[in-house]
Amino acid sequence: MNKDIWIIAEHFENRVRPVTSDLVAFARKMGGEVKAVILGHPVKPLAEDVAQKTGCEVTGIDSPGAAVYNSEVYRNLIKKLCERNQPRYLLVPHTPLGWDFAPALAVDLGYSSISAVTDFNPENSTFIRQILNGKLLEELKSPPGCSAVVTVMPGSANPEPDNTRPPGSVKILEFESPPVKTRTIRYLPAKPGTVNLKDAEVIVAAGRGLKVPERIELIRELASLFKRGAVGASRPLCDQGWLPLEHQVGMTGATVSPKLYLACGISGALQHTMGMKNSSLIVAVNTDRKAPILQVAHFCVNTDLSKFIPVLIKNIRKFRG
Amino acid sequence: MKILVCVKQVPERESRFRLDPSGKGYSDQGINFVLNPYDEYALEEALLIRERLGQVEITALSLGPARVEKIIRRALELGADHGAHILTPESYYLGPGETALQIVKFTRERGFDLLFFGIISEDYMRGQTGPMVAALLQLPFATAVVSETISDDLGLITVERELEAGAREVVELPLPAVLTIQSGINRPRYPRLTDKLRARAQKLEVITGLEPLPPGRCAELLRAFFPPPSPAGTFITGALEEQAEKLIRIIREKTDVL
Ligand SMILES: Cc1cc2nc3c(=O)[nH]c(=O)nc-3n(C[C@H](O)[C@H](O)[C@H](O)COP(=O)(O)OP(=O)(O)OC[C@H]3O[C@@H](n4cnc5c(N)ncnc54)[C@H](O)[C@@H]3O)c2cc1C
Repeated sequence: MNKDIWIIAEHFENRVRPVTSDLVAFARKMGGEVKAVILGHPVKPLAEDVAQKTGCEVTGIDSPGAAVYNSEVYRNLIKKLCERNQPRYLLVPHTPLGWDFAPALAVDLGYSSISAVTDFNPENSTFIRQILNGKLLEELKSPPGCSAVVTVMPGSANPEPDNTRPPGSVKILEFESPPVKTRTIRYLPAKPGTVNLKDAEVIVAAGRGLKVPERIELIRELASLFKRGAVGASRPLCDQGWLPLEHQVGMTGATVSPKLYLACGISGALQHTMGMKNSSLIVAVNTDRKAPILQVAHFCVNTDLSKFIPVLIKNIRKFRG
Repeated sequence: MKILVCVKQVPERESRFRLDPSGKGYSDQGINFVLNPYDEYALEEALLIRERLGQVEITALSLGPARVEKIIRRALELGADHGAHILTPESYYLGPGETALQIVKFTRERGFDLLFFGIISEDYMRGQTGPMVAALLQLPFATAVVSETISDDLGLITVERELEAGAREVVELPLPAVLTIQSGINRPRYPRLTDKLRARAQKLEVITGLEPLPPGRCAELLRAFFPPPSPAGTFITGALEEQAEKLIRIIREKTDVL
């Protein structure tokens, strides 16, 4: 085993996805030699793009089976590469693609497996990750002498601007497609919605703290007081059918950055904050003084939303005259 | 058809936590434990398949200390046919690899056609056990499943996996297969009284003794800790009226939306 850190680049429809740069930045923070691996068909233009943007040495694995993502193909081909030259860490983005193959790949390789890390502590070579929806953190390490597959939460490191380093070298390896049982049939783009969260200036977002669906009316009323106000939601509200899916904010919903984001009864799980943390002003209304949403909120009203929101509505009306 | 649904007991979402004496995890003193919400969706999906196809036998399996019996019975109340419990010592830290190994041992010679897991558990949020079980059994799998259909000959399952921002991907897998189920795939039911009574009386299969994990496969857990106090957030204090007035002032100062 050597000390290399390999990152698995992610791409979609012939474009390298920005999460790849996050991963490179995370790996560089860890120290050591950082190399990028990308799978595809044809892979050369993608590999060159990664080398150009990040300055990493890139290995492109070209295989007809890797034209679109398939977990079995990815596992099989990455395993082949690791058997030639075992890295210390294999970093994978914690995305619907990465979390899919990473744990199984760790089993295939006999590596340890650490998922959804948000930070690295170089002093002890440890990884930090959230547990219990962000109420606690834990610190883990891959035992000395053992390689690890690690999935990294998008946004866990600030990427350098593209093209700031001299381009890295590119090596293309051609591998045969392995036989697979799983078949990827097609991609279904998101259904277009009628709610345009992206253009809203103010998003009043509701979470499980609402407790009863009737309170959505309060949220609607508050949002309607702003010229370009819209109603957002955490995932559980959409899962329960209280609001249509198009209101969902977060990893599996919309990514938004309004001028004002009012998070009402939302705990602030990473999957939610990933979609709204760049809003200009974030205000949380939450009964829990320690809710993880406070890690991203600028202001917090530590009060029961069912009491506070009616008073806020009344005061905004009064102010508007 | 036989379906295994792996279920986990996790603290209720509203819980407040303290560290346990080892400093490596949370103390379970005073915590109310429930069935992992994502597993509830997985179990419901198995129940829906049974309603659709008829001849389906559902086994709910959980690993953990004596207290997890409660959620295995909960799974029976909801409609699982059998309950099984792999008993672990109290306060025993189980990594995903070790958990997967025990589940694999349990499945041997039981002929499950489908193995269901929640996409993650809300306590450790790792999302690894399902895919690891699949890798160990060399079965095809799909994660973040939000819909499924099974072919008439029961040979194939076609699923939609959730990707980012509302996009999906259609994947086809031959049975037997492993799925991790995402929330929102269905609306989990409430137990019926007859099932509650049956669940109370039903015998669980209890398995003791853990298979050891080969060395180097498990990350070493060093400690758990509370996040540092929020860097930016300021509390808006006062009575309701005062809080509302202050907030309006802040919004006016920092934005042009009011
Ligand atoms: C793969 C994956 C993808 C996901 N994608 C998303 C996503 O895109 N978007 C998303 O939102 N989630 C997503 N989730 C779910 C996410 O992990 C959380 O479970 C979810 O965001 C929690 O929603 P919540 O904050 O509304 O509920 P909870 O976590 O239950 O929080 C409720 C909050 O309300 C507060 N509260 C309670 N009562 C009151 C009251 N009376 N007044 C004020 N406050 C009160 C509580 O203190 C608590 O903080 C995803 C999960 C997975 C596994």
